[in-house]
Amino acid sequence: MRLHPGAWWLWALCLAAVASRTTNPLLLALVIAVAGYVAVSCREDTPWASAYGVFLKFALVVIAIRVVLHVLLGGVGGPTVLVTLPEIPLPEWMKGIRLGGPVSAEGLAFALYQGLQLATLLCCVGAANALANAKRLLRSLPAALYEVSVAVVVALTVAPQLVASARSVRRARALRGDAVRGVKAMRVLMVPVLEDAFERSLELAAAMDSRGYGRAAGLPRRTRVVTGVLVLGGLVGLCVGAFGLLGGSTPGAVATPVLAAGSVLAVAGLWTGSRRVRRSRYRPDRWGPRELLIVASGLVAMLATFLAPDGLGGAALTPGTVPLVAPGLPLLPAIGLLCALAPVVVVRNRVDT
Amino acid sequence: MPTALAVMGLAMLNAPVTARAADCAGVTVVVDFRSLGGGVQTGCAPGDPASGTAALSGAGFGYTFAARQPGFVCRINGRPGSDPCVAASPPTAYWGYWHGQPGGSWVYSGTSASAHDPAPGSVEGWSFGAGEQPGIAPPAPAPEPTRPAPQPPAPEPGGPVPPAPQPQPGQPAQQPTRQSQTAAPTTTTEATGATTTAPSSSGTSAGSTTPGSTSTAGSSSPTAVAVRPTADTSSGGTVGLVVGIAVIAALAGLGIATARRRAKAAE
Repeated sequence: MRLHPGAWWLWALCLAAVASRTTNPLLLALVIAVAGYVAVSCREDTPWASAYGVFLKFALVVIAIRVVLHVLLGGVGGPTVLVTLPEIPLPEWMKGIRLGGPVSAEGLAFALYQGLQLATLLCCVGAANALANAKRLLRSLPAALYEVSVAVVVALTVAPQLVASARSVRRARALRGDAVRGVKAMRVLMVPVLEDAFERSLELAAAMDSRGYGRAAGLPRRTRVVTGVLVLGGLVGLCVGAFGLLGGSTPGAVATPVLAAGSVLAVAGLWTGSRRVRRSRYRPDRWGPRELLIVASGLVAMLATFLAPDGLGGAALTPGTVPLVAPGLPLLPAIGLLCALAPVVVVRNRVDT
Repeated sequence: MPTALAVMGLAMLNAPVTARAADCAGVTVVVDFRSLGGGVQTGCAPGDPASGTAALSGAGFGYTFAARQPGFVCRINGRPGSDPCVAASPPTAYWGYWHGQPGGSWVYSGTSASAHDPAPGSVEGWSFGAGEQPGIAPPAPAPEPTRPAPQPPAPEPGGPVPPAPQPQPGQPAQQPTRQSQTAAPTTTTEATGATTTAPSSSGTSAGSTTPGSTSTAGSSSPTAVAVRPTADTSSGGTVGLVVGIAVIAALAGLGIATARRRAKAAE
């Protein structure tokens, strides 16, 4: 029996929340390592299981782009100048933007930290894609969301489908004796891969539609409007509250009530929407203790980072780059992240029994 | 612009400031600590500093960047200690950056201090608060008679703010890290020299805008000292660094080994 995909997504989102809160390269690398290890050891033998590797490569590209942009555009200066590029003079009204000029070690470190943060977020999404089947996740969505789920299905399945399509197209070419690599492969494979992935996603959406997804049959208009307003209001509240909590600059006294109100609205909307829609489920995914353990391990990592006092690593979450100092290891967040390795044990025990 | 004129007029009566500014062969730096319960300090960065921050440290002031926004000066001489210095300071309590010519008026800087290259002979101003101008006008090269000063507006104290004793002009401070050494002498000289006017000016001008920061006024030099012991935590930091890298390497190795094993098993 497979684990509930929602558990994996929640776990990965917790790791992403950790990454969003810190620019410490040690902690970010730890997040990537934890997500990667769990992804390779807990994944199923599915076509999209190698999504993590693809996301990892994409993350490297993101870091490279961030660093190159910093070198070209400048931004953060420091006393340790490594190279001085020829500077292109800009008119007075463009002051504040610089093309070329000195490249300092401090600025490079800052760009690297920021690129690494974005890369870590990508890796978290990659781990979720490798571990969980997005289609199965959608199956367990509440009935009120079926109306949007067709669109969400197309959006969510494109990334794993791309990976699967790329592999199949490449294998097909290799069987014909045409093994291409590198940049040329990108050019040759791009069109068939994109076409294949979109076709598969649209096929899936059509299949869902033909099986009655997103149908509002038998619901009075008023109920539909009430449901829509409640769900939309709830989602807006959830987004604003989560943004406030994650951003850290909004006081928690404002963000927490908004988040709570959003949750209540969303639950109410889902409840009114689900009341009349009755659907049977084939082999439903169930939440068991293992799923709870996985989510709990992610939550531990997130809370350890968010609630870490200054003495136990809260101060090391954003290491200074000017002056350049070696980043310290935030103790409590790092221990919390090691707790996020628990899914490895959970899944291994399942195999043994 | 009545405020600017008032401040300018008031400050031009200040013979000591103007006389001292005439001595400066480089860039004069004016730092206004009044909102933080201090006085207005003036320093001189000799030669031609490459940037506003270089002029600041060249004049003997230490500064700290916000960790998430390098280039954003959040503390000068370790003050205000209440700012965590992680994100950019709030718009009601930040270090405003101004340019000026001797005897002219202040102009709010359109660029960051790191990007601005002050010309020798110009004046740089730093003022803490909600974007107020520094408490004195750019010090003029020579004392000259003043234009009549209009009625001083409410935020200004009743009398002109005498400048604090100059904090050892020409201290060769190239790096922000020098703050640890420079901060202590400048704050202490300021505390002894400008105590007569500092409390009154901070009470009127800062009371409405930055209620939190004035509380740190009395304890400014203790916090400046208390921030210092970053040196001994760095030894624990290197241990953490090594342990962290070891853990990451171990996890990465395990992950790659697992991936290889599974790929082999799948074939």
